Amino acid sequence: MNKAILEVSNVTKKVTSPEGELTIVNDISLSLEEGVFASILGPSGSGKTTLLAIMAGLDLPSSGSVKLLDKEITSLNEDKRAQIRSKDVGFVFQSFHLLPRLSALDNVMMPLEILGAKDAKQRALKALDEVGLSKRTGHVPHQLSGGEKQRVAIARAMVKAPSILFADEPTGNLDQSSTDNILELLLRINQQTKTTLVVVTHDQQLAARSDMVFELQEGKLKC
Amino acid sequence: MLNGILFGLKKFFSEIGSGDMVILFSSLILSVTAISGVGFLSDRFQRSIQQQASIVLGAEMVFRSGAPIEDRYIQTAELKEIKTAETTSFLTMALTDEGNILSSIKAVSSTYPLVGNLQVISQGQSSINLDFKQPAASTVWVEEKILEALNTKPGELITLGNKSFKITGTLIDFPDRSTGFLSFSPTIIVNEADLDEMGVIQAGSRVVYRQLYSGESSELESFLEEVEGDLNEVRVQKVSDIEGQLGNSVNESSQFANLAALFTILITLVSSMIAARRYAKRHLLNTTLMKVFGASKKFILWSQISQLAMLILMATLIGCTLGYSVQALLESILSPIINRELPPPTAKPLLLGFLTACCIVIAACGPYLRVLGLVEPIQLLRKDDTQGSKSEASIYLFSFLIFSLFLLFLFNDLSLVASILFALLGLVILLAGIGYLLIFSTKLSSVFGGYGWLMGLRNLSKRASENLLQVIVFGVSLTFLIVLAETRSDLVNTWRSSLDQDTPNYFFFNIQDYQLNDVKSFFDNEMEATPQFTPLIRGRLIGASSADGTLLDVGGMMQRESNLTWFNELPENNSITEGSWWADEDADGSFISVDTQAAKSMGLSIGDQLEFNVAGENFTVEVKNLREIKWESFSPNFFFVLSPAIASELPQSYITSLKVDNNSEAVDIFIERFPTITSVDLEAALDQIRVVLDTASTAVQYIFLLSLLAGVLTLIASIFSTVEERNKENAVMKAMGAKQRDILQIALAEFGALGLVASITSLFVAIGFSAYVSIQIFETSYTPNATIIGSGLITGFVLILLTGMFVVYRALSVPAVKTLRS
Ligand SMILES: Nc1ncnc2c1ncn2[C@@H]1O[C@H](COP(=O)(O)OP(=O)(O)OP(=O)(O)O)[C@@H](O)[C@H]1O
Ligand SMILES: [Mg+2]
Repeated sequence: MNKAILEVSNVTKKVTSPEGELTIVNDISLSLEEGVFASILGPSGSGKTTLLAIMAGLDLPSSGSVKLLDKEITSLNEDKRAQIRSKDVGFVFQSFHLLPRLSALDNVMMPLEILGAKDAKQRALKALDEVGLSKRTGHVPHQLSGGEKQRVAIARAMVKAPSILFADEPTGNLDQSSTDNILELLLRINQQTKTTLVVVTHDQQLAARSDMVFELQEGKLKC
Repeated sequence: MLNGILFGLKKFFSEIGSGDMVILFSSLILSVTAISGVGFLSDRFQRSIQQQASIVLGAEMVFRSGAPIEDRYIQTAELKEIKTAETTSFLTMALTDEGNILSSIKAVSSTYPLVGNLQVISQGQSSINLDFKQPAASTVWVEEKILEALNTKPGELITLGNKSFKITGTLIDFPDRSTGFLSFSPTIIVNEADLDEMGVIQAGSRVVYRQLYSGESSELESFLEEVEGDLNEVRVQKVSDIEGQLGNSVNESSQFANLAALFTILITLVSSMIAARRYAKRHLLNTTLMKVFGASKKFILWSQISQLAMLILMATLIGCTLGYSVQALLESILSPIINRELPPPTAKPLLLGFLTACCIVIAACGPYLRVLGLVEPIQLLRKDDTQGSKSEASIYLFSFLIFSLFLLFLFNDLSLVASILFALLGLVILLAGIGYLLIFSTKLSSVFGGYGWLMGLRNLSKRASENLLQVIVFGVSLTFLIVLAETRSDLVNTWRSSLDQDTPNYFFFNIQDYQLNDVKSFFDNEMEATPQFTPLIRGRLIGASSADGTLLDVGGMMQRESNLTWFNELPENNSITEGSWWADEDADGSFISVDTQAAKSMGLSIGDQLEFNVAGENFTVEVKNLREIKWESFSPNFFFVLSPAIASELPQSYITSLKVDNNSEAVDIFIERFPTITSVDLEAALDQIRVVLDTASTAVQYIFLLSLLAGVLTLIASIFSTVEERNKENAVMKAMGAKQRDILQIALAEFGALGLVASITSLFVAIGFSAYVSIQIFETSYTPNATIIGSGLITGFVLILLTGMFVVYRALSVPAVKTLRS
């Protein structure tokens, strides 16, 4: 039995809105072992993105705790959490968020540059090669298709070899063939590098191929 | 921290080519160039003026007394490495077999002159020697006038008192020409060792003793402080005391240059803010991503600080180099006139340039850095497009505050800075108000032509707040530029007219009563000139008391020989600052008019009684008014002007001045006919002043050019700041089937209206502002210059229209599909 890489205990997130206090994530507990492929399903507005952000240390819960890589991240300050993210956490977004003026290569190099890595260029080229874009390294985002953009984004997330990769609807903006492509890529990454994957998705096919599925409904975990 | 700095530096060089960085960078360079150029310029001008003044004085500081001055001052000064020299001046008869002439003798020590040149043509030579110090013992250098009057020449003998001297050279010019009673007689320079044998100086003789000092101003100051306590009868003259006349025009020009630099900085501050805003917008995604990927706040802060520091350093370097070249160019024009090397410029302008760059960067970029610092990484998950949340008003407030502090540092004058800021605030409010009205009136403008025009005008109100900002930006820059152009031409014209071709270049002194008619008719017949003759009365102030009889201490003026005159009417270039000129009913009264400055230093006020001695006769006059003279007129300034009733009976001679053609022989004939009348050729001096003024106005044009560039830059910055949004709009419109022509027509309407609003508004503000600046700061009159205002209006309008159209046109060439894909 592998040890847990992520432990979420009784996490609740409340926000204040004009209509009063809203509970958008409600008392969620879950645990992920190293190397699993987990997907989070749920209707729009059910709190998936919020939960993902809390698990990745981008946001703090109102109560409850998150333990990532044996560290209680909910009690760490912003800089400490940033430090964990810089080494061990990768992130992929629904709308890619590539920097428009930078080439694919420069986009992928960015996380390494933040770390001050010396061999950033070789590693970035390798990462692009692994997502099948070795011929596109000099292209800027608007010269790439949606699927290609997402693959650059995945290369960017994977370039520093994180222990865990979070993806928020990575195929939400893509057509069917690109979606298949990205799905295969994510599965391959999970198998080859043993990186833990947490993917928010509406895609049943993706959910079906993952090791664990969590379903959210109005901020609560459906069992 | 180190990682952040390295990352920032690495990114700097890939960022420097982007549009907003180019604008920010050029803005910084421009303002640094302006401020350092002006700094270097006034630095050097000040020094050149100081040198001119010290040549007039023959030193940087002079001790002067009617009694021998003690040696100990000289000894104290020499301990401080101050150079010293001594002169002794008095009047005596110079004799040869042919006759005699009253001459002004100047006995000099071996180090004389300290500043400036003794110009002598040695016996048997034809060229002027500039390196002479002191004549050898028993030899003298005499002025041409003496040679003529005594019909002698170099190589022959001349007798002064008990000793005869060999004339070894003709004296052409020398520093520290006297201004007092000695100045009306031609000069002979002798060695001070010969003074005793001459035996002319006896108890009661009128002698002027001088000790000349030259050295570092700090040394001079400390020397003066040391001896000041026991100077007794010794009067101190410093260079700063006589910089007045020439200094005035230079002051005006450096004031203008300062004003222009200030406006340039203001305008570039605006373009910098626009660029920084766009930069921040563009980097929001970047920064948020960096945060998601684990960059700490410190890392981001340091990477941005290092980039900005790099920007500041490079801009300072380039700007100061440019600023230095501007002044070096001017120096190359100036140096042949000043005739000696200027001391190297100080480092102060460099520091000022650096501080300016820092201030602009902090004021313009600081708030946006904060926006970037505050952005939450989670925003990337929430929205497709991230945007800043901080209110723009607080950003402007912050910049305004930083800028105010900077101005306060720069001018060190709270009321001046406050009035500048108030004017600026008023200008912005006015522009905003008018712009608001006009933009919203376009909402109602359905009466205008076709669809495209209407759409363009609608665009104005659709982007109302942005367009309002542009009206303000264009308006402020255009206003400043028109104000600068107007005051510049006013200033230059005033200078020119003060030194026009009719400015007298010859002064004649010592015209006696009995010669007056002959001289008048000579001028009239031979020179076709009818100049004014000003009476000159030599007198001595011997007492002063207030209206109620208490004695007054008037300081150094007491017992000194002064030149007095009298007038019926107030001369043209004079103006009364207090009291009133004498009217007909005062015809029998004994009144005096006193120079305002002199009255101030003497502590005199209206109604005080002054007692004078003229040719052994004492009389008392009442101070009737205080009077000021316009320095530009170059007419002689009398401290004391008497009323006709008291003065017309006193012994007097006359002085006059004339414009004489350079190659006219009339002056030579005049000198031959009237050998006792002293003539002074001012042409060379006037030429110097002309060149200095010309240089000053050239400098003013350079600085103005910088402001103009800054204005254009701001225009480009503000229109480019909307380029992405326009690209998107155009793409959407094209996708909906709009033709290029339609889009251009819409833009034409939009920018045309914008340009019109901005330029008309700023025109009115500029006229008011120019009037204020001309009258309040430069004390000249103001008449709107139709050419400048007209061309300002048209240029402003055309520039706004063209820049706008250019941006839209460029956007059109971007394929719509490219815009839609990103
Ligand atoms: N800061 C906030 N303030 C107020 N309400 C918020 C805030 N953040 C999220 N919400 C609300 O919380 C709910 C959950 O949001 P979340 O983005 O987590 O949903 P989601 O499951 O990711 O939905 P989708 O599938 O549409 O992306 C939504 O109703 C959202 O409007
Ligand atoms: Mg979501």
